[in-house]
Amino acid sequence: MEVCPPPIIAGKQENSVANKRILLLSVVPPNTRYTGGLMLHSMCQSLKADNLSCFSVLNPRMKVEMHPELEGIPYKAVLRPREAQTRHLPRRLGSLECYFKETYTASVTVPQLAEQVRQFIKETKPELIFCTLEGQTMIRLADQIQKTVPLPMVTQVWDPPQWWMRSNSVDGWSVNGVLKTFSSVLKNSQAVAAASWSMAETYNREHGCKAIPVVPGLPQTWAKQPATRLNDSNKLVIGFAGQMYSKDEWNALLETLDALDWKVEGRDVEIKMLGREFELEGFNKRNIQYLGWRDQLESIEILSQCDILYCPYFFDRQLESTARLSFPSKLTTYLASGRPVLLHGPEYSSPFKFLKEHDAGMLCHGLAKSAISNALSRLVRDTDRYAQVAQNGHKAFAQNLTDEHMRAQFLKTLAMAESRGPSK
Amino acid sequence: MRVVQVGVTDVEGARFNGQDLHHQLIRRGLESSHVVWRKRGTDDTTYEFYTGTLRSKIHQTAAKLEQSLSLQSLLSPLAFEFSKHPQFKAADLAHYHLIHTGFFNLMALPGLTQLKPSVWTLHDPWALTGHCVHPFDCAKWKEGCGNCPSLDVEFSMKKDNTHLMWKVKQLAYSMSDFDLVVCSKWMEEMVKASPLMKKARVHRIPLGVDLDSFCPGDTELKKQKLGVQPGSIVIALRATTSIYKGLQYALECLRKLDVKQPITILTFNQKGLFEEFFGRYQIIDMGWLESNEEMIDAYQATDIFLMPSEGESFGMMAVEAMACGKPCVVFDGTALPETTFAPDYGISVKKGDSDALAAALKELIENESKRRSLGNKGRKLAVQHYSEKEYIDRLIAVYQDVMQRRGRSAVASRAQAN
Repeated sequence: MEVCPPPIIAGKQENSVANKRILLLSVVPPNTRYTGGLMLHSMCQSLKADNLSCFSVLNPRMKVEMHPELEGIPYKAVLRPREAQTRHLPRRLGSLECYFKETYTASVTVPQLAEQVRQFIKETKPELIFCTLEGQTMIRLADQIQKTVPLPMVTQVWDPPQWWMRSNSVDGWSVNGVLKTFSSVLKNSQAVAAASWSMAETYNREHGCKAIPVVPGLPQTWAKQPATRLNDSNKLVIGFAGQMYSKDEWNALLETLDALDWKVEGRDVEIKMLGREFELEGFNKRNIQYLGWRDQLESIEILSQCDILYCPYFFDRQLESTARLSFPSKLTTYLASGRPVLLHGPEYSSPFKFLKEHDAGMLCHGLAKSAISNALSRLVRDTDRYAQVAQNGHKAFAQNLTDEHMRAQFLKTLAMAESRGPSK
Repeated sequence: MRVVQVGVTDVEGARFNGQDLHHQLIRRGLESSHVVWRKRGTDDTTYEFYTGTLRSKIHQTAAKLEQSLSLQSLLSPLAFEFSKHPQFKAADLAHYHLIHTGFFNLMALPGLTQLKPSVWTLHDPWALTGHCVHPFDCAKWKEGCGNCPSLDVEFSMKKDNTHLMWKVKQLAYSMSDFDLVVCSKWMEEMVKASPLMKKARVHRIPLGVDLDSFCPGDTELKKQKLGVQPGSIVIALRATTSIYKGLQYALECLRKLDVKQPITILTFNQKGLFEEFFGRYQIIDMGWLESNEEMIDAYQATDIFLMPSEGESFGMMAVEAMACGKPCVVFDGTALPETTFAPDYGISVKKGDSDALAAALKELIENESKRRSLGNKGRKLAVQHYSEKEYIDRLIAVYQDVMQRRGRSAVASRAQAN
C-alpha cells in the first residue's frame, strides 16, 4: 500500500521568508560530498538562489566546493582555527595548555573571523542570517555576530556541542564557557533548527528558545516500496551505510555473529557496508563486503536489496547527550530503502524513541549477545513482524523524513524570524 | 482526612515508597500528598523534602560524615525541619515508608510522631537491626547487635557501630508514638521478636495489586510479542546482584537444569547477568520496567516465575505473578512461602538448595497441567487476599483507628502543627 505524505502547504510567512536575502554562515557550503552540505543544499532548494550568499568557516582538512547549482552566489570561505586540541603537557597542565589555546582563539581569532563576516555582510546585505552551530568556533562566532549585527539570526544544531568538544579533547574550563555561550546563542536566536524531535523538545525546555525539528530528508520519489519478506535465499544480508562512529555496538554485533557462527535461524549472515573509513578489529576475516562510498540514490538501491539494515547508536554513557539529542542521517536513508531497520542503541536515544513511537524498527537496547541475537532471529522468524516493521518504516519516512517535509520545517523555522523580529 | 506519605523517591519503587498508595488514596477521595527526598517524576502532588543548594550541601556533608563515622540516619539535621514542611503541617496523619536511605534522621521520629498521628510501613527488617536490611540467620538483632559478622552487607559499615545504632533506634522508638504496618506474618513475627518494638502496635496488611490489570492473558500472544522462540518455556525472574535476591541460586539451578524443552529466561531489572547461558537458553532481558503494561505483558508471557530470594519481607513480584496466573518457585526462610501459600500454590524449597530449585523447575517444565493448575490456584488466592481495594480499605481503617486513638480531630491536629 502506498502511503501518501501529508500535504505541505506554505503559509504567507513561509512564502515571504523564501524571498528574503539570506546569508548562510556555515562550516561547509551547500555541496555534493558531505552530509551537512547535502542537507544545506536540500534546504536551500526552497529558497531563491539569487537571494543567497554563503560564508563558510572550513575545516582545513576538507576539500569542498560549492554545489554546482549554487555556483553563482556570493561566497567566501575562510579556514577554521584548529578545534582538535593536541596536548603536549601531562594532566592538569595539559588542560591548562588547552585552555590558553582556546582562550587565544576565542579572544583573538574569532573576533578576526567576525570582522570578516561583518565585512561580507556589508557587501551582500542579507536580511537574515542562517548559522550552523558546529564546534566551538561557530558558537563563538555566532555569539559575536548576534552581539554586533542587528539582523535576525536562525541557528541550526546538528549535534550537541558536548560531543564535538569531547572528541576534540577540549579542556573542561573552555567547555563550560562554550556551553554558556551556546545557551546564550540559542536564546538570542529567533528560531533554532534542531536535529531531532528530542533535541527540539529539550532545547525549548532547557534554553528557553524556539526550536523546531529539521531532520535530514530525502525525496519521497526515492523511497522504495516496503519489503514484505526476506529475500529468497539461504543468506541473511545485513546492510550498513554511512559513518562508522559506534564501534562498541559494532563490535558487539560482530562478537554475536561469531558466537552464532555467522548463522541466524539457519541463514548464512553477510554484511554489506557502504561508506568511507571503516575500522573494525578483524575486519577482513569476516564475512563482510566493503562497497565503498556510494551516492545516496545508489545506496538506497543497494540497501533495498539487503534483508535488514543495521543502525547502531551510542550506549556509552559519556555520549549520552549525543544519543539523546542527535539523529543519525543514515536512518532516513534506511527508512527510504523499504527494509526493516535494526536499531541497536539505548532506550533513551532519539532514533530509538522515534522508531518506537512509529513502531518502525526492530529495537535492540542491549550490548549483550542474547539481545542482538534475539532481535536478528525475530526478524528472520516472524514474517508478519518483518513486513509490519518495513511497512511502518515506510510510513514514518513518508510522514517525517522526506525532503519536502524537511524543507517545510526549514521554512517554518525561518518564518519564525519574521514573526519574532531581530536579535536582542 | 488528609494524609502525607513520606518516602525516599517517587518513581523508582513506586509500589513501596508511597507513590502508588498516594494516588490510590486520592482515587478513593482522600486528600493525600507525597513528600520525597528525591523527586524524579512530574506529579504535581509530589513534593521534595527540601530544596536549595545550601540544604543539599548540608545533607551531603551529613551523609559523608555518617559514612566515615559508620553511622546511619543520624546526622542529617534536615529531617527536623520536616515538621515545618507545608504538606506535613497540612496533614492529619503522616505515613512513613522507606526512610532508611540516608535522608532521614531517626532522632527526628519522636518529635514528628508526637506532632502528628503516625504510621510507619516496614518493608524490610532494617528498623530492627544494627545496620543490615536483612539479618538472614543472624540473631543478634534480638540481643542488641554488636560484633557484627557481616558488616559488609547492605547498608554496610566500616567500623562496627551496630550496637550503638541498635541503641539509638531503641531510644528513638521508645520516645516515639507510631503504628507499624507490615505486609506479612513473617515480618510481624520479626517485629514481635524485636526488643526495639516492644511498645509498637502492629497491623498486618498485605500489599494489594490491581487485579483487573494484573490478570491472566493470552500467553502465546504475549510470548510472540516479546520475541520468545516458538515452543519455548519461559522462566521469568528478577535479575539483580543484590545479595537478598538469590542471583547465585538462580544461576546455579539453571546450570543444573536438565530438560529437553527449549527454555527462555525472561529477566527484569539488571541486564546481562544471565549471558553465560547464551546458546543454551534464549535470554530476554527486559531491563528496568517503569510501566505496568510492560510488566503485565512479561508476566503473561511467563510459564514459571522463579523467586529465589534469601531475604524477602513480602514478595510483591510473586503476588503479581500469582495474579497473572503463573506458578511460583521460592525459598523457605523468607516471607515468600507465606505470601505464595506454599505448598498449596507456591513451591517452596530449602533455602540455598539449588538442586531442589532445579528439580522444582524441571517438574513444572515437564508437567504442563501442574503449571496450569497452580497458576489457576494462584489467581484465585490473589483475588481472595491481594486486592488493591482490600489493601486500601484496611489501611484507611488503620488511619482512622490511629487518629481516633490519638484523640485528635483533623482540625486540632493541624492547629497543633501550626
